[in-house]
Amino acid sequence: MVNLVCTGCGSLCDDIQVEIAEDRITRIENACAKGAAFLYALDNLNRRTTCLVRDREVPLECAIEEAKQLLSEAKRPLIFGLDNSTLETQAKAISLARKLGAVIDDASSFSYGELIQGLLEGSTQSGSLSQIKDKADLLIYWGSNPLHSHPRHLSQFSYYSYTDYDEAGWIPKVNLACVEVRETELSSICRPAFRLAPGGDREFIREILSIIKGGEGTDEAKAFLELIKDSRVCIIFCGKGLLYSLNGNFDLFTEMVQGLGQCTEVSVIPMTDEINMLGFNKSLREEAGYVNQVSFDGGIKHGTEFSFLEQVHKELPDCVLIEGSDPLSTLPQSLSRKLASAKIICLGSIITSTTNAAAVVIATAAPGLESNGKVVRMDGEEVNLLEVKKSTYPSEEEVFERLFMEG
Amino acid sequence: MSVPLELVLVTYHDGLLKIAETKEGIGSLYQKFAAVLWLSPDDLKLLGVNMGKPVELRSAAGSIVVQAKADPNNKPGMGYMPFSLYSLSLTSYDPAKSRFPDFKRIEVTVLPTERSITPISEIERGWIA
Repeated sequence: MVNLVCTGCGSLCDDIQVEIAEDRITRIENACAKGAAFLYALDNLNRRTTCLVRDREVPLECAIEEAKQLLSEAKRPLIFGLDNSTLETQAKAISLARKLGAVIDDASSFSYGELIQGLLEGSTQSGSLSQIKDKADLLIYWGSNPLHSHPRHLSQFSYYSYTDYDEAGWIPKVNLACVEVRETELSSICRPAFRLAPGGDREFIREILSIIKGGEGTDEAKAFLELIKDSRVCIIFCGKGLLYSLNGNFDLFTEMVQGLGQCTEVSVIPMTDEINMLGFNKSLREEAGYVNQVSFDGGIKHGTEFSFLEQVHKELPDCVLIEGSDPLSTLPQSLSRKLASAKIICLGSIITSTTNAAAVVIATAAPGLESNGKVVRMDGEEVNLLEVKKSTYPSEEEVFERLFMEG
Repeated sequence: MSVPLELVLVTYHDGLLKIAETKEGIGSLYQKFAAVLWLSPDDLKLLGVNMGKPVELRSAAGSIVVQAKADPNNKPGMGYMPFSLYSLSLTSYDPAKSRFPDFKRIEVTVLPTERSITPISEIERGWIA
């Protein structure tokens, strides 16, 4: 058995063991069902085994040659994805974008971007889970159901991960709470579970802020504030439910966290599904000064007009290089239709809706299983991914290197 | 007598759906987990359909046919669907109104139907329409 960091979700569980025989995984220990499905998938029928150019199987060299051709001919190239890539691959992709004068963006521009920017700039406090977890006595999942999105999050990093936890007779020393719009597996074990109307998060935050500032608020908001006041150290895990409800604008949330910080120590951790969204945002910020939505056309420009959604909505890019992402399975159909009409170059290890629509598909090794690299976990901790299985596929980093050198 | 229902639809992350997609791609198992609308028992009764029967969902963005199921934890007037290609057929993106696509508060009309569940292939064909 060999140790492995699971790249099935943003938790990056590092206690996974796999047995490998003839370059195939034959046994997995400790992984959740989601992680195990992901690891086994790399050996099953959904594995992208060949490179394609317009649905025709071609050798790697031909696919790279075609990708290079499309990128060099493009007047408005766009590079998108990279949230499931290593830091090394992301660095190469940013260099390629700079060289091509391309727009570069990731899924954070329509998810956690603004929150992560606040964390990187220090306006919102965060911290390594290994450091803050043992101090925390209140854990709040807000708009997140980790039992589905990050199945081992509670046992690896939060409620069930305390050293004195014992299934037979554990008396919790930490409170578990959630803010949700529906009953979930998580809300059933939370005391308390705050239930909001869909889209009601902003109003709930306003109520809390009002009480902090000495004004009036609902009983629910008062109870939330009391819960915080009764704790010494609180961690708020932010899920997509919260960010979609806030429409990605975290100003009010940040103000609330700062206000709560007068009562107790509050840290915020984004429940990113991707394995390295923070890494991409950090890398691009270091290179270009912004966490996402950057154009390298004639210098460095930034703005919502360079967001992937806006670019696709306005049908601006004539060639889209997508890596480690499946936007056709995550965008509204009106946008998918527009994206599918562009020339797509797709890098990845799995067959997806996006690879099916791509003009060029380059089959790559899976990071953390078939190639090495570093990623940044949701709490900012850098995690080393190691190659544990031989692969005939090139690493994503190698493909970007070749596109850069030959482009 | 059945009536069309106006609902607010909320999408959510379903781990089982993700596992199905990872194991088998976008196929029949994916459809089983994705093409489901969870309602309150009262709303299901108002619609006049039995548990597991097809209903048509219409939004400003499109329409699909999925299975209707009741969950006693759900409030009347609310519908819940896993985030999938099905829910994405009902999701709009209008940057003049919102920075993000509408994943969490989609206004839909629900009607009983004799039609079958919308096949995945039909949704995928929509991309090249």
